[in-house]
Amino acid sequence: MSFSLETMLHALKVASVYIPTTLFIAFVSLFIGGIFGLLIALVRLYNIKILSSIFKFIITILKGIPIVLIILGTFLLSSQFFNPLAKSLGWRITFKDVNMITIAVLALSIMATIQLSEIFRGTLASIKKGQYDAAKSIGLTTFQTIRRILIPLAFPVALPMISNLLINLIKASSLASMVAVVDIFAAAKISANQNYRFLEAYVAVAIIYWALNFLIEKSSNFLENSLNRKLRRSFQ
Amino acid sequence: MNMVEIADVHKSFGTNKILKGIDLVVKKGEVVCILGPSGSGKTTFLRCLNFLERADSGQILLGDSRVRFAQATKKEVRAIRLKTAMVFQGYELFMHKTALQNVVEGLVIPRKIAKQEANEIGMAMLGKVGMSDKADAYPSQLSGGQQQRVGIARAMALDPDLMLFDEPTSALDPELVGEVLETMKRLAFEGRTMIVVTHEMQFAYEVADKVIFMENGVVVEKGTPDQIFNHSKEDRTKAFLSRLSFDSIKKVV
Repeated sequence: MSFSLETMLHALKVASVYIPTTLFIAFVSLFIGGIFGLLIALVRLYNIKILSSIFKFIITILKGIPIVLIILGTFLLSSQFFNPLAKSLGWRITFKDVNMITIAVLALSIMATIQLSEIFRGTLASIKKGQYDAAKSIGLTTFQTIRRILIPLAFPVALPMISNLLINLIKASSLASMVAVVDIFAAAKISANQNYRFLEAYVAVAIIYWALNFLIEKSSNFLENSLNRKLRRSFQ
Repeated sequence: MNMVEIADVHKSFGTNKILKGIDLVVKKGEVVCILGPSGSGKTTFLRCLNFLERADSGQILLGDSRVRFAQATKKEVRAIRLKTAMVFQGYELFMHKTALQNVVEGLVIPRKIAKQEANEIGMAMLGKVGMSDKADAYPSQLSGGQQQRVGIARAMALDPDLMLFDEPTSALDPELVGEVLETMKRLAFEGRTMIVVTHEMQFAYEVADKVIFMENGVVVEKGTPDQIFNHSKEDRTKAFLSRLSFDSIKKVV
Protein backbone atom coordinates (compact mmCIF):
# COMPACT_ATOMS: atom_id res chain seq x y z
CA MET A 1 0.00 0.00 0.00
CA SER A 2 1.56 3.23 -1.08
CA PHE A 3 1.06 6.57 0.62
CA SER A 4 0.88 9.66 -1.54
CA LEU A 5 1.76 12.80 0.35
CA GLU A 6 0.35 14.91 -2.45
CA THR A 7 -3.06 13.21 -2.24
CA MET A 8 -3.02 13.62 1.51
CA LEU A 9 -2.31 17.35 1.20
CA HIS A 10 -5.10 17.64 -1.34
CA ALA A 11 -7.53 15.90 1.03
CA LEU A 12 -6.30 18.15 3.82
CA LYS A 13 -7.11 21.21 1.70
CA VAL A 14 -10.56 19.95 0.72
CA ALA A 15 -11.48 18.91 4.24
CA SER A 16 -10.23 22.02 6.01
CA VAL A 17 -12.80 24.09 4.13
CA TYR A 18 -15.36 22.40 6.37
CA ILE A 19 -13.64 23.20 9.68
CA PRO A 20 -16.20 25.98 10.31
CA THR A 21 -19.07 23.47 9.93
CA THR A 22 -17.54 21.13 12.48
CA LEU A 23 -16.77 23.95 14.89
CA PHE A 24 -20.25 25.39 14.43
CA ILE A 25 -21.91 22.06 15.29
CA ALA A 26 -19.67 21.53 18.34
CA PHE A 27 -19.83 25.04 19.80
CA VAL A 28 -23.55 25.57 19.29
CA SER A 29 -24.25 22.19 20.88
CA LEU A 30 -21.97 23.07 23.79
CA PHE A 31 -23.77 26.40 24.25
CA ILE A 32 -27.26 24.87 24.16
CA GLY A 33 -26.10 22.03 26.39
CA GLY A 34 -24.62 24.57 28.79
CA ILE A 35 -27.92 26.36 29.27
CA PHE A 36 -30.07 23.26 29.69
CA GLY A 37 -27.39 21.34 31.58
CA LEU A 38 -27.08 24.15 34.12
CA LEU A 39 -30.85 24.37 34.53
CA ILE A 40 -31.14 20.63 35.10
CA ALA A 41 -28.22 20.65 37.55
CA LEU A 42 -29.83 23.50 39.52
CA VAL A 43 -33.22 21.79 39.59
CA ARG A 44 -31.54 18.70 40.97
CA LEU A 45 -29.35 20.69 43.40
CA TYR A 46 -32.35 22.47 44.91
CA ASN A 47 -34.30 19.21 44.71
CA ILE A 48 -37.36 20.74 43.08
CA LYS A 49 -40.24 18.28 43.42
CA ILE A 50 -41.32 16.09 40.48
CA LEU A 51 -39.11 17.98 37.98
CA SER A 52 -36.02 16.73 39.75
CA SER A 53 -37.04 13.07 39.51
CA ILE A 54 -38.18 13.46 35.91
CA PHE A 55 -34.77 14.82 34.89
CA LYS A 56 -32.99 12.15 36.87
CA PHE A 57 -34.98 9.48 35.02
CA ILE A 58 -34.42 10.97 31.56
CA ILE A 59 -30.70 11.41 32.14
CA THR A 60 -30.26 7.88 33.43
CA ILE A 61 -31.84 6.60 30.21
CA LEU A 62 -30.06 8.88 27.73
CA LYS A 63 -26.65 8.52 29.41
CA GLY A 64 -26.56 4.85 28.43
CA ILE A 65 -27.29 5.37 24.73
CA PRO A 66 -24.39 5.67 22.24
CA ILE A 67 -24.20 9.01 20.46
CA VAL A 68 -24.57 7.25 17.08
CA LEU A 69 -28.01 6.05 18.10
CA ILE A 70 -28.96 9.49 19.38
CA ILE A 71 -28.03 11.04 16.02
CA LEU A 72 -29.90 8.39 14.02
CA GLY A 73 -32.84 8.50 16.43
CA THR A 74 -33.06 12.28 16.18
CA PHE A 75 -33.00 11.98 12.39
CA LEU A 76 -35.64 9.24 12.26
CA LEU A 77 -37.98 10.89 14.73
CA SER A 78 -37.75 14.31 13.13
CA SER A 79 -38.21 12.90 9.62
CA GLN A 80 -41.41 11.21 10.85
CA PHE A 81 -42.89 13.95 12.93
CA PHE A 82 -41.61 17.17 11.41
CA ASN A 83 -44.09 17.42 8.54
CA PRO A 84 -47.28 16.90 10.59
CA LEU A 85 -45.94 19.28 13.25
CA ALA A 86 -45.01 21.97 10.74
CA LYS A 87 -48.42 21.64 9.14
CA SER A 88 -50.30 21.96 12.41
CA LEU A 89 -48.25 25.05 13.29
CA GLY A 90 -48.93 26.53 9.88
CA TRP A 91 -45.27 26.62 8.79
CA ARG A 92 -44.67 26.58 5.07
CA ILE A 93 -41.64 24.29 5.23
CA THR A 94 -41.28 20.52 5.04
CA PHE A 95 -38.60 18.20 6.35
CA LYS A 96 -36.76 18.44 3.03
CA ASP A 97 -36.12 22.14 3.68
CA VAL A 98 -34.50 21.51 7.04
CA ASN A 99 -30.74 21.86 7.01
CA MET A 100 -29.26 18.59 8.22
CA ILE A 101 -26.81 20.56 10.34
CA THR A 102 -29.80 21.39 12.55
CA ILE A 103 -30.39 17.69 13.13
CA ALA A 104 -26.71 17.19 14.02
CA VAL A 105 -26.79 20.15 16.40
CA LEU A 106 -29.98 18.85 18.00
CA ALA A 107 -28.49 15.40 18.57
CA LEU A 108 -25.19 16.69 19.92
CA SER A 109 -27.05 19.18 22.13
CA ILE A 110 -28.78 16.25 23.81
CA MET A 111 -25.39 14.67 24.44
CA ALA A 112 -23.95 17.97 25.72
CA THR A 113 -26.96 18.63 27.98
CA ILE A 114 -26.66 15.25 29.65
CA GLN A 115 -22.92 15.52 30.18
CA LEU A 116 -22.99 19.16 31.31
CA SER A 117 -25.83 18.58 33.74
CA GLU A 118 -23.71 15.90 35.39
CA ILE A 119 -20.59 18.09 35.31
CA PHE A 120 -22.41 21.04 36.89
CA ARG A 121 -24.14 18.81 39.42
CA GLY A 122 -20.79 17.54 40.62
CA THR A 123 -19.11 20.93 40.79
CA LEU A 124 -22.09 22.60 42.48
CA ALA A 125 -22.12 19.82 45.06
CA SER A 126 -18.44 20.47 45.79
CA ILE A 127 -19.15 24.03 46.95
CA LYS A 128 -19.05 24.20 50.72
CA LYS A 129 -22.40 24.56 52.50
CA GLY A 130 -21.01 27.58 54.34
CA GLN A 131 -20.96 29.60 51.12
CA TYR A 132 -24.74 29.14 50.85
CA ASP A 133 -25.17 30.12 54.51
CA ALA A 134 -23.07 33.25 54.02
CA ALA A 135 -25.04 34.20 50.91
CA LYS A 136 -28.35 33.75 52.72
CA SER A 137 -27.22 35.60 55.81
CA ILE A 138 -26.21 38.74 53.90
CA GLY A 139 -29.65 38.69 52.30
CA LEU A 140 -29.07 37.33 48.80
CA THR A 141 -32.11 35.64 47.23
CA THR A 142 -31.79 32.15 45.77
CA PHE A 143 -31.48 33.53 42.25
CA GLN A 144 -28.86 36.09 43.33
CA THR A 145 -26.95 33.34 45.13
CA ILE A 146 -26.89 31.22 41.98
CA ARG A 147 -25.78 34.08 39.77
CA ARG A 148 -23.32 35.85 42.08
CA ILE A 149 -21.87 32.99 44.14
CA LEU A 150 -22.57 29.49 42.83
CA ILE A 151 -21.86 29.90 39.12
CA PRO A 152 -18.63 31.92 39.55
CA LEU A 153 -17.40 29.32 42.06
CA ALA A 154 -18.45 26.29 40.02
CA PHE A 155 -17.29 27.42 36.58
CA PRO A 156 -13.49 27.29 37.11
CA VAL A 157 -13.82 23.83 38.64
CA ALA A 158 -15.96 22.64 35.74
CA LEU A 159 -13.73 24.17 33.06
CA PRO A 160 -11.36 21.19 32.47
CA MET A 161 -14.38 18.89 32.14
CA ILE A 162 -16.12 21.34 29.82
CA SER A 163 -13.11 21.50 27.52
CA ASN A 164 -12.97 17.70 27.54
CA LEU A 165 -16.59 17.64 26.51
CA LEU A 166 -15.92 20.13 23.71
CA ILE A 167 -13.21 17.83 22.38
CA ASN A 168 -15.62 14.90 22.55
CA LEU A 169 -18.28 16.94 20.74
CA ILE A 170 -15.86 17.82 17.94
CA LYS A 171 -14.98 14.18 17.53
CA ALA A 172 -18.63 13.10 17.76
CA SER A 173 -19.58 15.67 15.12
CA SER A 174 -17.80 13.44 12.58
CA LEU A 175 -20.77 11.11 12.99
CA ALA A 176 -22.99 13.84 11.55
CA SER A 177 -21.92 12.65 8.10
CA MET A 178 -24.35 9.79 8.71
CA VAL A 179 -27.25 12.21 8.34
CA ALA A 180 -25.75 13.73 5.19
CA VAL A 181 -24.04 16.72 6.80
CA VAL A 182 -20.85 17.65 4.99
CA ASP A 183 -18.27 18.26 7.69
CA ILE A 184 -14.51 17.65 7.79
CA PHE A 185 -14.89 13.90 7.82
CA ALA A 186 -17.53 13.73 5.10
CA ALA A 187 -15.60 16.09 2.84
CA ALA A 188 -12.47 13.96 3.11
CA LYS A 189 -14.45 10.82 2.34
CA ILE A 190 -16.01 12.45 -0.70
CA SER A 191 -12.62 13.50 -2.01
CA ALA A 192 -11.28 9.97 -1.40
CA ASN A 193 -14.19 8.48 -3.32
CA GLN A 194 -12.87 10.12 -6.47
CA ASN A 195 -9.53 8.27 -6.40
CA TYR A 196 -10.01 5.54 -3.78
CA ARG A 197 -7.17 6.99 -1.70
CA PHE A 198 -8.86 6.43 1.68
CA LEU A 199 -5.74 6.14 3.83
CA GLU A 200 -4.53 9.60 2.80
CA ALA A 201 -7.98 11.06 3.46
CA TYR A 202 -8.19 9.49 6.92
CA VAL A 203 -4.71 10.72 7.84
CA ALA A 204 -5.70 14.21 6.70
CA VAL A 205 -8.85 14.08 8.82
CA ALA A 206 -6.91 12.85 11.84
CA ILE A 207 -4.44 15.71 11.50
CA ILE A 208 -7.21 18.30 11.37
CA TYR A 209 -9.07 16.88 14.39
CA TRP A 210 -5.85 16.57 16.31
CA ALA A 211 -4.85 20.18 15.56
CA LEU A 212 -8.28 21.52 16.55
CA ASN A 213 -8.33 19.62 19.80
CA PHE A 214 -4.76 20.58 20.60
CA LEU A 215 -5.71 24.25 20.27
CA ILE A 216 -8.80 23.80 22.44
CA GLU A 217 -6.86 22.03 25.15
CA LYS A 218 -4.13 24.68 25.18
CA SER A 219 -6.56 27.59 25.39
CA SER A 220 -8.56 25.86 28.09
CA ASN A 221 -5.39 25.31 30.12
CA PHE A 222 -4.57 28.97 29.78
CA LEU A 223 -8.05 30.05 30.89
CA GLU A 224 -8.00 27.55 33.74
CA ASN A 225 -4.71 28.85 35.11
CA SER A 226 -5.79 32.45 35.08
CA LEU A 227 -9.11 31.63 36.78
CA ASN A 228 -7.60 29.31 39.36
CA ARG A 229 -4.96 31.68 40.57
CA LYS A 230 -7.42 33.44 42.86
CA LEU A 231 -9.47 30.35 43.68
CA ARG A 232 -6.55 28.19 44.62
CA ARG A 233 -7.73 27.25 48.07
CA SER A 234 -11.45 27.71 47.77
CA PHE A 235 -12.42 24.04 47.93
CA GLN A 236 -10.49 22.86 50.96
CA MET B 1 -35.72 49.30 75.21
CA ASN B 2 -35.94 45.70 74.12
CA MET B 3 -34.25 45.26 70.76
CA VAL B 4 -34.93 41.58 70.45
CA GLU B 5 -37.50 39.34 72.09
CA ILE B 6 -37.25 35.67 71.30
CA ALA B 7 -39.82 33.31 72.76
CA ASP B 8 -40.18 29.57 73.03
CA VAL B 9 -37.95 28.38 70.19
CA HIS B 10 -38.28 24.67 69.44
CA LYS B 11 -36.31 22.78 66.83
CA SER B 12 -35.94 19.09 66.06
CA PHE B 13 -33.93 17.26 63.44
CA GLY B 14 -36.03 14.18 62.82
CA THR B 15 -36.79 12.74 66.25
CA ASN B 16 -33.79 14.47 67.78
CA LYS B 17 -34.98 17.45 69.83
CA ILE B 18 -32.25 20.09 69.68
CA LEU B 19 -34.03 23.12 71.14
CA LYS B 20 -36.73 22.68 73.77
CA GLY B 21 -38.12 26.16 74.28
CA ILE B 22 -35.53 28.92 74.38
CA ASP B 23 -36.51 32.43 75.50
CA LEU B 24 -34.21 35.40 75.25
CA VAL B 25 -34.62 39.16 75.61
CA VAL B 26 -31.82 41.44 74.48
CA LYS B 27 -31.81 45.19 75.08
CA LYS B 28 -30.35 47.62 72.58
CA GLY B 29 -26.56 47.69 72.86
CA GLU B 30 -26.40 44.59 75.00
CA VAL B 31 -23.92 41.76 74.49
CA VAL B 32 -25.24 38.31 75.30
CA CYS B 33 -22.83 35.39 75.48
CA ILE B 34 -24.13 31.85 75.17
CA LEU B 35 -21.97 29.17 76.79
CA GLY B 36 -22.44 25.44 76.92
CA PRO B 37 -20.97 22.09 75.96
CA SER B 38 -21.02 20.97 72.34
CA GLY B 39 -24.33 19.53 71.26
CA SER B 40 -26.24 21.80 73.60
CA GLY B 41 -28.00 23.58 70.70
CA LYS B 42 -26.22 26.95 70.91
CA THR B 43 -25.29 27.06 67.24
CA THR B 44 -28.68 25.76 66.11
CA PHE B 45 -30.38 28.47 68.16
CA LEU B 46 -28.25 31.15 66.48
CA ARG B 47 -28.90 29.70 63.02
CA CYS B 48 -32.64 29.74 63.69
CA LEU B 49 -32.48 33.47 64.42
CA ASN B 50 -30.96 34.08 60.98
CA PHE B 51 -33.36 31.58 59.34
CA LEU B 52 -30.45 29.43 58.22
CA GLU B 53 -32.47 26.73 59.98
CA ARG B 54 -36.22 26.89 60.22
CA ALA B 55 -37.35 26.55 63.84
CA ASP B 56 -40.42 24.39 64.39
CA SER B 57 -42.15 26.90 66.65
CA GLY B 58 -41.58 30.09 68.60
CA GLN B 59 -41.35 33.70 67.58
CA ILE B 60 -38.97 36.61 67.30
CA LEU B 61 -39.57 40.32 67.68
CA LEU B 62 -36.79 42.33 66.11
CA GLY B 63 -37.26 46.09 65.88
CA ASP B 64 -40.70 46.41 64.35
CA SER B 65 -40.88 42.93 62.81
CA ARG B 66 -42.68 40.23 64.75
CA VAL B 67 -42.32 36.87 63.04
CA ARG B 68 -43.47 33.37 63.95
CA PHE B 69 -40.74 30.97 62.88
CA ALA B 70 -42.98 28.19 61.62
CA GLN B 71 -45.34 30.40 59.59
CA ALA B 72 -42.84 33.00 58.35
CA THR B 73 -43.35 33.97 54.73
CA LYS B 74 -40.49 34.55 52.31
CA LYS B 75 -40.90 38.29 52.82
CA GLU B 76 -40.74 38.01 56.61
CA VAL B 77 -37.67 35.77 56.42
CA ARG B 78 -35.98 38.37 54.24
CA ALA B 79 -36.97 41.19 56.58
CA ILE B 80 -35.33 39.40 59.52
CA ARG B 81 -32.25 38.50 57.47
CA LEU B 82 -31.78 42.10 56.40
CA LYS B 83 -31.83 43.21 60.06
CA THR B 84 -29.38 40.59 61.28
CA ALA B 85 -25.86 39.64 60.30
CA MET B 86 -23.92 36.52 61.08
CA VAL B 87 -20.24 35.83 61.67
CA PHE B 88 -19.43 32.17 61.08
CA GLN B 89 -17.11 29.75 62.79
CA GLY B 90 -15.51 28.90 59.43
CA TYR B 91 -15.45 32.58 58.23
CA GLU B 92 -17.27 31.58 55.00
CA LEU B 93 -15.93 34.45 52.93
CA PHE B 94 -16.81 34.20 49.25
CA MET B 95 -13.69 32.63 47.82
CA HIS B 96 -13.91 34.29 44.39
CA LYS B 97 -14.21 37.81 45.78
CA THR B 98 -11.63 40.14 47.32
CA ALA B 99 -11.93 41.28 50.93
CA LEU B 100 -13.61 44.52 49.82
CA GLN B 101 -15.94 42.75 47.38
CA ASN B 102 -16.94 40.40 50.19
CA VAL B 103 -17.84 43.32 52.42
CA VAL B 104 -19.84 45.27 49.83
CA GLU B 105 -21.71 42.29 48.31
CA GLY B 106 -24.48 42.48 50.91
CA LEU B 107 -24.83 46.23 50.36
CA VAL B 108 -24.85 46.42 46.57
CA ILE B 109 -27.09 43.47 45.73
CA PRO B 110 -29.71 42.89 48.45
CA ARG B 111 -29.81 46.46 49.79
CA LYS B 112 -29.35 48.23 46.45
CA ILE B 113 -26.80 50.76 47.70
CA ALA B 114 -24.88 52.53 44.93
CA LYS B 115 -21.53 50.94 44.23
CA GLN B 116 -19.42 53.97 45.11
CA GLU B 117 -21.16 54.57 48.42
CA ALA B 118 -20.95 50.87 49.20
CA ASN B 119 -17.22 50.90 48.51
CA GLU B 120 -16.78 53.82 50.91
CA ILE B 121 -18.70 51.97 53.62
CA GLY B 122 -16.72 48.83 52.82
CA MET B 123 -13.36 50.58 53.17
CA ALA B 124 -14.50 52.20 56.43
CA MET B 125 -15.49 48.80 57.82
CA LEU B 126 -12.23 47.19 56.73
CA GLY B 127 -10.49 50.10 58.47
CA LYS B 128 -12.36 49.35 61.69
CA VAL B 129 -11.12 45.77 61.72
CA GLY B 130 -7.62 46.84 60.67
CA MET B 131 -7.73 45.28 57.23
CA SER B 132 -7.64 48.35 54.93
CA ASP B 133 -4.33 47.33 53.40
CA LYS B 134 -5.72 43.91 52.45
CA ALA B 135 -8.83 45.23 50.67
CA ASP B 136 -7.79 43.69 47.34
CA ALA B 137 -6.57 40.36 48.74
CA TYR B 138 -8.49 37.17 48.09
CA PRO B 139 -9.47 35.04 51.10
CA SER B 140 -6.93 32.38 50.10
CA GLN B 141 -4.19 34.97 50.62
CA LEU B 142 -5.28 35.83 54.18
CA SER B 143 -4.65 34.11 57.51
CA GLY B 144 -7.57 32.70 59.48
CA GLY B 145 -7.60 35.67 61.85
CA GLN B 146 -7.55 38.11 58.95
CA GLN B 147 -10.35 36.23 57.19
CA GLN B 148 -12.47 36.32 60.32
CA ARG B 149 -11.88 40.07 60.69
CA VAL B 150 -13.10 40.52 57.10
CA GLY B 151 -16.07 38.31 58.07
CA ILE B 152 -16.82 40.71 60.93
CA ALA B 153 -16.46 43.71 58.59
CA ARG B 154 -18.89 42.05 56.17
CA ALA B 155 -21.44 41.63 58.95
CA MET B 156 -20.90 45.17 60.31
CA ALA B 157 -21.27 46.77 56.88
CA LEU B 158 -24.89 45.67 56.80
CA ASP B 159 -25.49 47.86 59.86
CA PRO B 160 -27.61 45.15 61.45
CA ASP B 161 -29.89 45.64 64.46
CA LEU B 162 -28.55 42.35 65.78
CA MET B 163 -25.16 40.72 65.18
CA LEU B 164 -24.82 36.98 65.61
CA PHE B 165 -21.44 35.37 66.26
CA ASP B 166 -21.20 31.60 65.94
CA GLU B 167 -18.02 30.54 67.76
CA PRO B 168 -16.02 33.10 65.81
CA THR B 169 -12.65 32.05 67.25
CA SER B 170 -13.04 28.28 67.46
CA ALA B 171 -11.39 27.55 64.13
CA LEU B 172 -8.44 29.86 64.74
CA ASP B 173 -4.88 29.15 65.83
CA PRO B 174 -4.50 30.17 69.48
CA GLU B 175 -2.24 33.06 68.60
CA LEU B 176 -4.78 34.51 66.14
CA VAL B 177 -7.69 34.44 68.62
CA GLY B 178 -6.61 37.69 70.28
CA GLU B 179 -6.94 39.93 67.22
CA VAL B 180 -10.49 38.72 66.57
CA LEU B 181 -11.60 39.09 70.21
CA GLU B 182 -10.10 42.60 70.28
CA THR B 183 -12.18 43.51 67.22
CA MET B 184 -15.33 42.12 68.82
CA LYS B 185 -14.63 43.96 72.06
CA ARG B 186 -14.41 47.24 70.18
CA LEU B 187 -17.78 46.50 68.55
CA ALA B 188 -19.31 45.80 71.94
CA PHE B 189 -18.07 49.11 73.34
CA GLU B 190 -19.45 50.86 70.26
CA GLY B 191 -22.90 49.77 71.43
CA ARG B 192 -23.67 47.02 68.93
CA THR B 193 -26.33 44.53 69.97
CA MET B 194 -24.68 41.13 69.83
CA ILE B 195 -25.40 37.49 70.59
CA VAL B 196 -22.15 35.55 70.82
CA VAL B 197 -21.83 31.78 71.05
CA THR B 198 -18.35 31.25 72.41
CA HIS B 199 -15.96 29.13 74.40
CA GLU B 200 -13.85 32.17 75.28
CA MET B 201 -14.69 32.49 78.98
CA GLN B 202 -12.53 35.50 79.58
CA PHE B 203 -14.22 37.36 76.73
CA ALA B 204 -17.64 36.49 78.13
CA TYR B 205 -16.60 37.58 81.60
CA GLU B 206 -15.21 40.92 80.48
CA VAL B 207 -17.55 41.94 77.70
CA ALA B 208 -20.95 40.32 78.19
CA ASP B 209 -23.86 42.11 79.82
CA LYS B 210 -25.67 38.81 80.13
CA VAL B 211 -24.40 35.23 80.10
CA ILE B 212 -26.54 32.24 79.26
CA PHE B 213 -25.57 28.67 80.01
CA MET B 214 -27.29 26.14 77.73
CA GLU B 215 -27.34 22.38 77.83
CA ASN B 216 -29.47 19.77 76.04
CA GLY B 217 -31.58 22.37 74.33
CA VAL B 218 -32.64 24.31 77.41
CA VAL B 219 -31.32 27.37 79.20
CA VAL B 220 -29.89 26.05 82.47
CA GLU B 221 -28.98 29.40 83.95
CA LYS B 222 -28.80 33.02 82.95
CA GLY B 223 -27.47 36.12 84.66
CA THR B 224 -24.72 38.69 84.72
CA PRO B 225 -21.17 37.40 84.18
CA ASP B 226 -20.55 37.85 87.90
CA GLN B 227 -23.61 35.78 88.83
CA ILE B 228 -22.74 32.97 86.41
CA PHE B 229 -18.99 32.81 86.90
CA ASN B 230 -18.71 33.61 90.62
CA HIS B 231 -22.06 32.81 92.21
CA SER B 232 -23.52 30.11 90.00
CA LYS B 233 -26.61 28.45 91.52
CA GLU B 234 -26.76 25.42 89.25
CA ASP B 235 -24.43 22.47 89.82
CA ARG B 236 -24.28 21.81 86.10
CA THR B 237 -22.98 25.31 85.37
CA LYS B 238 -20.39 25.01 88.13
CA ALA B 239 -19.21 21.68 86.78
CA PHE B 240 -18.91 23.05 83.23
CA LEU B 241 -17.00 26.13 84.33
CA SER B 242 -14.69 24.26 86.70
CA ARG B 243 -13.70 21.92 83.93
CA LEU B 244 -12.58 24.93 81.93
CA SER B 245 -10.46 25.96 84.95
CA PHE B 246 -12.02 29.38 84.99
CA ASP B 247 -10.23 30.17 88.27
CA SER B 248 -6.98 30.70 86.42
CA ILE B 249 -8.73 33.17 84.11
CA LYS B 250 -10.27 35.16 86.97
CA LYS B 251 -6.84 35.85 88.40
CA VAL B 252 -5.78 37.45 85.12
CA VAL B 253 -8.87 39.61 85.07
